Amino acid sequence: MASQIHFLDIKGKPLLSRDYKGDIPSNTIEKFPLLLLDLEDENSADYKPFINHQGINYIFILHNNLYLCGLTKKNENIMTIIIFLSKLITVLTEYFKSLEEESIRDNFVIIYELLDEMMDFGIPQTTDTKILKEYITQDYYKLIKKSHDHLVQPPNALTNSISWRKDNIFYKKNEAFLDVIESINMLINANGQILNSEILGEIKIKSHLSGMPDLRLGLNDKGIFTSNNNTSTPISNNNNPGTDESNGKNIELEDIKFHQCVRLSKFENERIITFIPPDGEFSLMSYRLSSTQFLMKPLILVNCKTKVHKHSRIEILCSARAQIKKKSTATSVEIIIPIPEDADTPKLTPEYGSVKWIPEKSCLIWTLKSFAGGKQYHMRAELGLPAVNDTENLISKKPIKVKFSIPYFTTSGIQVRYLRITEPKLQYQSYPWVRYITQSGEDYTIRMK
Amino acid sequence: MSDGKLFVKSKSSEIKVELDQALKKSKPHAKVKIVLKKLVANVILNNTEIVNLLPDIIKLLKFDDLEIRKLSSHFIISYAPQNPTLAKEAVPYYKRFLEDASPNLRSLSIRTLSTVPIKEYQDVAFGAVTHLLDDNDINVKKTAIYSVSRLFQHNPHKATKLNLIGSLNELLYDHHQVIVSNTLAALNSITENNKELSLTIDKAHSMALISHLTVANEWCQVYILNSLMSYVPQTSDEALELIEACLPSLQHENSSVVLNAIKVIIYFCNYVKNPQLVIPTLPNRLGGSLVSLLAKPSEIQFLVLRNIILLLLGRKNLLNLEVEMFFCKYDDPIYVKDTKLEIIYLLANAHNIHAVIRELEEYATEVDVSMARKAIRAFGNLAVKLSGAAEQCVEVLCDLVGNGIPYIVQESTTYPGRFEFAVESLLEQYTLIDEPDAKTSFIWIVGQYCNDHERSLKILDDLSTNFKEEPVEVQYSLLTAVTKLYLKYPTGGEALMLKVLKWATEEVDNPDIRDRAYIYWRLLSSGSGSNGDFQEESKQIILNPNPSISSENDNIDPKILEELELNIGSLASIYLKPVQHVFRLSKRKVLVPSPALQPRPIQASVSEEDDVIDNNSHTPVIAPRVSNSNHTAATRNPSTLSSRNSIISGQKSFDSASSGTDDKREGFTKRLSRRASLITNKLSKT
Repeated sequence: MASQIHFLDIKGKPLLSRDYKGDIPSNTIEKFPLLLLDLEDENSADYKPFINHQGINYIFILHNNLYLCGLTKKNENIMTIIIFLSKLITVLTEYFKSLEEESIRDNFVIIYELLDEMMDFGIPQTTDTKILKEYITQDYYKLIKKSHDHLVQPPNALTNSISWRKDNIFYKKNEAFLDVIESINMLINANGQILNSEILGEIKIKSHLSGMPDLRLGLNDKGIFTSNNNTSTPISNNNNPGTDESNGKNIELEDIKFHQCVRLSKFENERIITFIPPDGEFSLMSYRLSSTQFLMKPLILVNCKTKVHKHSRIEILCSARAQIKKKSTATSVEIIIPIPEDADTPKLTPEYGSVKWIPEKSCLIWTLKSFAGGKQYHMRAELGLPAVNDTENLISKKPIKVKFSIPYFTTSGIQVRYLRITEPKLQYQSYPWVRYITQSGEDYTIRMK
Repeated sequence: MSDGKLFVKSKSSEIKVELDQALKKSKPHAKVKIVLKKLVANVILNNTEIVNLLPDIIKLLKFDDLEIRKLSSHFIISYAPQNPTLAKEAVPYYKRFLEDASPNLRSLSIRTLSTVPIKEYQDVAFGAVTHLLDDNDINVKKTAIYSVSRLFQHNPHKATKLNLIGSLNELLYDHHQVIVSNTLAALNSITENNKELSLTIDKAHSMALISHLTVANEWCQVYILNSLMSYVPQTSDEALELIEACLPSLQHENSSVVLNAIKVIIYFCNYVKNPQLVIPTLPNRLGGSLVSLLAKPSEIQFLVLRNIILLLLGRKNLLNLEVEMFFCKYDDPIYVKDTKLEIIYLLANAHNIHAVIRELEEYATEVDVSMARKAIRAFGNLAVKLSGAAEQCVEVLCDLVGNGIPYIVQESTTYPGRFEFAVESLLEQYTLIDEPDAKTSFIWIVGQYCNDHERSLKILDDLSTNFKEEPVEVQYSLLTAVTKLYLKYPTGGEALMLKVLKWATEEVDNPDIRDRAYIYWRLLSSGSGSNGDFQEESKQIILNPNPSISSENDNIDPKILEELELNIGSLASIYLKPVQHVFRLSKRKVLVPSPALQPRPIQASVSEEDDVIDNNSHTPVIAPRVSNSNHTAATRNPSTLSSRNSIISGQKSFDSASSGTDDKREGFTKRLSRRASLITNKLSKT
């Protein structure tokens, strides 16, 4: 697959490289900075994470001012390469706290070790930090010295049939903590109508369980998890009338992704979620729901009116309403309102909460620590504009962003019915705990007029 | 201790001194390691001078310490090729390690031996690898598997002779899934590079492989899934069974597993009649998995989006996607926005057209000019694709034109539709136009539609003041436009027409322009004398109705689509080009016939597929259009005048022309010059 993997700085200068195949000259990567320049020169629109130059393909992702770049000559499965690169970032971040130029230099020896284990002949092998950490650590060689036979083997986990969990884990108190987190992404137009919205759900588990426990998770299958044949009132969605049945628009997209420990075939056939969990924290499953059925209106509705008096000032009148159940409360709500770059001398008068002016980001942030359901608040702001102004045409179309979280509440209504834990050999008592939270996703935005 | 401070460029003599000092100590290990780390840093820093140290480093292999040996091997691998004679010294050490009790050493040894491209190393590796494939340690076995791939790369001839493939094949029946899947990956990399070899598996084996899926780690799953592509189902039931067996993988958390599973499923769908009817949930499952991959970093999004385009072009029936999911986010990088725009266009249909138009309108007023332009182009294309929506598109365009923002006006003019009322609002804004492309189109519009002759005369007069300085395409269109105006409005247009023709024939250096001007001139002067009707023949030739633009453009060759579908998730799927165009040496993938193989479903037409292919750009949303340059091919031919019919057809295609943004035109031009040469061929035959 990948012939070479490179770490490069923001200008494209190589920091560390590993050649897996030897079928591409090792100085090829030196062209990378020039290629990057070309991309930027011509037109920013041409920037793409893939370059084909003189028969060599550069596949790269940008992370913390670092490029990770894979080279290949052939028509390779680049989805695999690019996912590998992103997992490589995850692994190295988990190893060194943060992955940047300095941490690469500080850890170059161990990075080589990891690169050797994670990939062979350009083919990804393992990207599971927990397992890698068992035998590649900064102290790895110290371990060797202590053991008498000078042999520390890669853990059995790597070659076990259960590749994600080692034997003989022991906890005094056996507990499992479940977090059900739903992130809401929403695109709302200036009139408060929802253009699109989705719920990205995730169930995280922190498992402190001894031995080889077998877990079974029961969820309320209220519509969500009954997947099949939900074909009532089909609306033809494409030009082919023969396929109405399957193209009905109303069908819930119930796209669930599981951690590799979940027995997928069991789920496919019996809709039961069973698994032997890895030790510690992991994300058991994620799901996506197009939320039309659950979210008829925005959870936090923001209405913002701006009035620009040219060459003198801009007035902003913003109102926010929590359209959630009276009993619920949204916490740490932040409403981020973009303002013109050259605005200054703000006069900010929130009815509730506090407003801050962040000139370097050209925005106001209105913070409401707690926001009870059904309440509505206003905020008024006035900023000065420079008398001389030549950018009148540049009406910024930057949207308003909202961040919030609502504890004890899931938008989809998903609930954990039970979490059964059985460890056939040890037969201990165990305690499952469950928490729910709904929060804003990366894109909860309201367009400005 | 952080290794950062070891990361400095040093001279070999300095390191040598340090190494000697370290070796003098009674317990040298720790010091030696520090020296070695410095060396590795210098390897990274590309310090070639330290190759001198090779003999000293080889001696370090005698230390019974894995870290020292690993670091030394790293150095040896990097520098052995520069000094093969010296490097040979290390071979005896590695030979000994092959027999060592420690599996780590055995792995290190075979990996090093198979990597270093020196005959002595390779010979030992060839000798030992078969034996190590049967090692009782799984890690050693795994390393040996990839060592075979490496040996194949260095010396395919010898590797074939030693029947290393045979040895690998045996491992496919290993009871351990890690071994099986890694063997598959290794075999895959070997067969990809070798025209004679291919992997075939049978039914029983494919089911056995699937049973491994549940326990294998994420990457192994990818290799297993890929290997299923080597099985050709003989009946539809078999294919269905395999599709169902792959469905669970759509739920894997690793996106690579998901996309590869989609590829395999699409592959098996070729062997089932109407798979979307047999498994009704299939379009939702596939659509849903793809959309959920969009919640990833933009690089991955881009890849997924390109593959969605591919599937929409050929397999629309198997996907259920909602256009709303592809609306652009404010901070999407531009390449993601572009690709999304294309998908929005492909997904637009009579049901969602309102939402689509509203969304495009939003983009059209975007601060980012290039995005806005693309959105406007999309309007033009939509109007062509969905005739029902055309009116609405044009209306919105008119609204936008009314805003008077220059780039909107310029882009919009590129789409003279069949809607004459649009012309009015255009005329009001004409002063803003300054780009050649937009000008050309605008001039064409004036010439073609404008019935208010006084006004168009004024406009054309205005525009032609700088005739001599204008770019060629503007000159062309001006020529045609003034001639048309003269034909419609002889009294007022004559002076202008004569002025322009005079310029074109006497003062312009471009022979093509001159030629065309002469043709018009002669046509007009010969026409006036004939039987009463004013310039009837010239009118017939020059004034002609618009050809209707149809969206049923030549569809993508199904063969290309078929091959691309077999390459989902690969580089070719990004470039959306026939695989051989980008990777000349790559093996062609084709659907292997079997009794169950179904004919390709006929895709409800989506226009512009070929644009997508031709341009390989991120902006294939470009209307079918004809570039001016081809016209020269038709007019330069001396027989043009005699065979009038042909010329008219040439003229038509010219007249519907609205040129594109230059760099993206290449693909069209190629197609067009083909078309143009067709015309000329016809001409010479007559």
